[in-house]
Amino acid sequence: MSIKERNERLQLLQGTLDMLILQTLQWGPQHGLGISQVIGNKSEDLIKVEAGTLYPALHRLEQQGWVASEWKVSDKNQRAKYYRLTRAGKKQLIAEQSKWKQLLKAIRLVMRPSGKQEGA
Amino acid sequence: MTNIFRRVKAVLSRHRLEQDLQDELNSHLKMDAQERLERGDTPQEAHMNARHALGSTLRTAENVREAWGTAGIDRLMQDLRYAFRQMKRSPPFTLAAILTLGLGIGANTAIFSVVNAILLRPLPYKHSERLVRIVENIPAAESFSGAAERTTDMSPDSFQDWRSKTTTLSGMAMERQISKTLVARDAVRLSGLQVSPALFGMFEVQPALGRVFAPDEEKPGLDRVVILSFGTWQRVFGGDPQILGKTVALDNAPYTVVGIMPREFAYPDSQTEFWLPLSLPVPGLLGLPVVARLKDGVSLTTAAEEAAAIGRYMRGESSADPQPSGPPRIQLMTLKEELVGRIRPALVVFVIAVSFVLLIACVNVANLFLARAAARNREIAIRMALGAGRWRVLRQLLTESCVLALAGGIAGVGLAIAGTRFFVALGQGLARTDLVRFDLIGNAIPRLNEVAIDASTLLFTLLLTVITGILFGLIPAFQIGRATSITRMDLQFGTTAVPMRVVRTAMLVGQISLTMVLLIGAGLLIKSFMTLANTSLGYDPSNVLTFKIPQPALDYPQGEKAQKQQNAFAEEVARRLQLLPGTQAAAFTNNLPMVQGCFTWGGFGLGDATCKTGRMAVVSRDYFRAMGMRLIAGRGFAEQDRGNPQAVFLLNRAAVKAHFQGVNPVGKTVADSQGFLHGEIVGVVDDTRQAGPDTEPMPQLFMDPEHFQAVYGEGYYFVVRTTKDPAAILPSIRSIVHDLDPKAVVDNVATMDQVISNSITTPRSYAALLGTFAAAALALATIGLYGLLSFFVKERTQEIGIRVAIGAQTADVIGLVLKHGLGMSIAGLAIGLAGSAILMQYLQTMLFGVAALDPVTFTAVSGLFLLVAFLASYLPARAAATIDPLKALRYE
Repeated sequence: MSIKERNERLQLLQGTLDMLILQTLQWGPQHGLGISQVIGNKSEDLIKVEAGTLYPALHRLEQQGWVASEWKVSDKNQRAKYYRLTRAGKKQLIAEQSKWKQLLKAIRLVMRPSGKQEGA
Repeated sequence: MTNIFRRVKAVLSRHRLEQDLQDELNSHLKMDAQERLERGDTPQEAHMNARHALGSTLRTAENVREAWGTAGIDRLMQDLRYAFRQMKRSPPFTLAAILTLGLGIGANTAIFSVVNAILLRPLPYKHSERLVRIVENIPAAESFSGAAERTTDMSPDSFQDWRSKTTTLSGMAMERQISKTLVARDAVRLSGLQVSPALFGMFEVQPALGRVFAPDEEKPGLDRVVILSFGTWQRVFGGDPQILGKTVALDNAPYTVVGIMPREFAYPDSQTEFWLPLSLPVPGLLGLPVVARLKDGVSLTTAAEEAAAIGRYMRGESSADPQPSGPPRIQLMTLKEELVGRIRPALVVFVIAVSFVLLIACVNVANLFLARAAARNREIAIRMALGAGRWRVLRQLLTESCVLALAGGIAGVGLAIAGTRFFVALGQGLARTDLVRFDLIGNAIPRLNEVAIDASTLLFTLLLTVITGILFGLIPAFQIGRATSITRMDLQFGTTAVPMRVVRTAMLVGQISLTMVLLIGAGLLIKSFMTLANTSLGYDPSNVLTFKIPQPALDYPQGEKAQKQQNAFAEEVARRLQLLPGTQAAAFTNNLPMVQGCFTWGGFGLGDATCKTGRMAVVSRDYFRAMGMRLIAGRGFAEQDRGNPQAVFLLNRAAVKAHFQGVNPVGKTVADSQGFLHGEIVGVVDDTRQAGPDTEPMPQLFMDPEHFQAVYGEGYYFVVRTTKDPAAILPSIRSIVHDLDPKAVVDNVATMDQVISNSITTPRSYAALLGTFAAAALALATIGLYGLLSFFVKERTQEIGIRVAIGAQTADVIGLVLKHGLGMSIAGLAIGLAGSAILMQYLQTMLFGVAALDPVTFTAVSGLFLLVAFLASYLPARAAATIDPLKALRYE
């Protein structure tokens, strides 16, 4: 990829990838390739998750007990390792989402163009 | 916690995880390729693009492993494999390093296990730190021997007084070591302890069976009860469960068994086989040791203050009286301190000594590492050039050194097991054990039977091993970490970095200094021991067998008549011994040199109040001949003295000096103020060192048994001078005694040589131990010197070759190397001598007849070391001299 391409792609905040993966798995079990495709598509290719970061993240989440994995045959008749959200993973996702909303709100407040005080 | 658990699980199921990961990445690749195929790529393009999109599978796998948390372990395993490969690559290096470290670690482990058992571990009693002894420091002016003394003995009157006054002690007990003949199937001699009944409560010990003594059992008449040790109950009574309430005969008197102590209870030591109550008052008894227990919540200091006050009160002093300088008159010491305090300085010396040995071993191995590091510089430079961080290389080197140290530690534990056995054997005396052990004085290393390699020792060794590994690994590693720029130079010129050479020289000089300190210490102790062993004892101990027949031999009535009968019995035994083939002389005495329990009977005065006192000994007619003592003036005891109502005495030279100003006293009459002694002096014998070779002879008076009026209840020691092997006549002796009295026991059998050998056991073990350490240090330092010089020669082969080529003679080359070697040796020697002069003061208490700065030892040791250093330097020098200039120039 070119330097321009790389610069346009967004660097993920620390820990955000974990949240994105959990979010993706919300709709059902998915394999590694599928997860990276979903994230890529939904972000309109602004975020590209490479295998070198995706798989360590998946294995880390599995170590934490937030996802579980099993080998299954895909609809295209391929053997693939599918990850699914565990109960603890769902809780973690909810926690991450609310943290994320807080963060977004805070950033939005800081990044406001004028110095108006909201609600004060 | 669960995290660690997961990691461990990950490590354990490692293989499966790896396989799974590979499958997963493969499936990713396959699916991606298939999708690309479906989107219209050619099969080849699809595969290539999918590969490209996946990126480096190796790096992905590495990152995933990181997520598993096993990466650190992976790297460690990798380093370990590498370390083992390195070790296998040069077996001589590895073996030398392991043996050297094994020696250092082993010696330290052995000494630690000794220090741990003797000094560190608490005594095996509950709350043993609250058990104390009352120690009295007697100033020289008041002491019997004329020198300042320390005693733990207290008179029974003082004991009772003290017990009624103390508010800080919750219990006090007097104790007396005794031995009694028990007649069960056969007559056996058992050793035991007479104690105040309070003792068991103070020690918080519950009997395994029955009960402990009741308080009123210290009253005479109620005291005929006995508690047996677990071992005695098993061994003598076959563990009879009905033993309680049974009567046993001890010295022919009936005692009721009231209790059995638990197996692990041993007071004062594991040789104690029974306990009797000590009934007060004990007539004629001068003093006994007292053991006391601090009241809960009372500190040792508070109790000691009270003890000092009670002591002053008992001596009739008020607290206003001026305190004499020196140690306090009354001291409280914990039981442990009282037991092991004496040996502490010696153990400290040994700890320092073994630390030196370990340091020297570390330096040697570090030097080996440095020598090899010089050879490995290329490899390390390449690794660093390839991007290995300094920390990564350092860790690799440390892993290597720790693996070596661990191997050394394992070798060391083996060595330590042998070493502690050696130490215990030394401490118990190396005398023949086919004869029975004696109640010896000077056999002074306490708690020796507790010495063992236990868990805490192994933990210590592990710690030591890791520290050692880091210590000797860090020196070369540090050097390498710094040496990158020099390394580049090395690659070009093939010479060693200069700083490295300086470090190695400095380490060698340090090593030599430490070795010198050890050698001098060992030299002093060995000289001290030799002095002790060669001290003239005043008698001839060779070919003399001694034994004791404890009395009263059971069926004798009490009183003066008993003494007569006892004497008659002893006379008869001596007469029959005399008839044995090979016997030159046979005699008996109540006061055998260097035997415990022979000093309680002592003290004679000569009339006027000012005269000094001395020891009194009862000896039979042939005693002087049997012991090989020299008669200086007059005559010995003779047949004509028998039946003569007038007693006759002999004095020793010291008594003549003390009481007669050296004038021949033969023919003079002696009498004491109590009218106990009255008779004529008929002879003078030479002095003997009665209390051991390190104690000056004291005044002694000898009398024959016939005129010995007091009731003496302990029996006699017999002395047989024989031309045969003493052990060979032992059966005859037993049968003689058995014929005369089947209930009499032949006890404490030993040759006089053994008795003496045992009395110098402690100095001998000190000398042997430090000698061993010094020898190890010398060997290590010699190897170090030799190795360094060999390396020096090898390194300068080219230079030497050029020198030879341009006309240097063999002598010049040898001189060059020798100068280098001896230069380092002399530097080390000088530092070592200076260090010794300072450190040897700590050795003072262990020396006898040798000054801590003994010039002879200092000179002799320096000479010996220089000789060894010369040899260690000469061999590499010779090697240098044989360098062929042609070959040398082609070298490298």
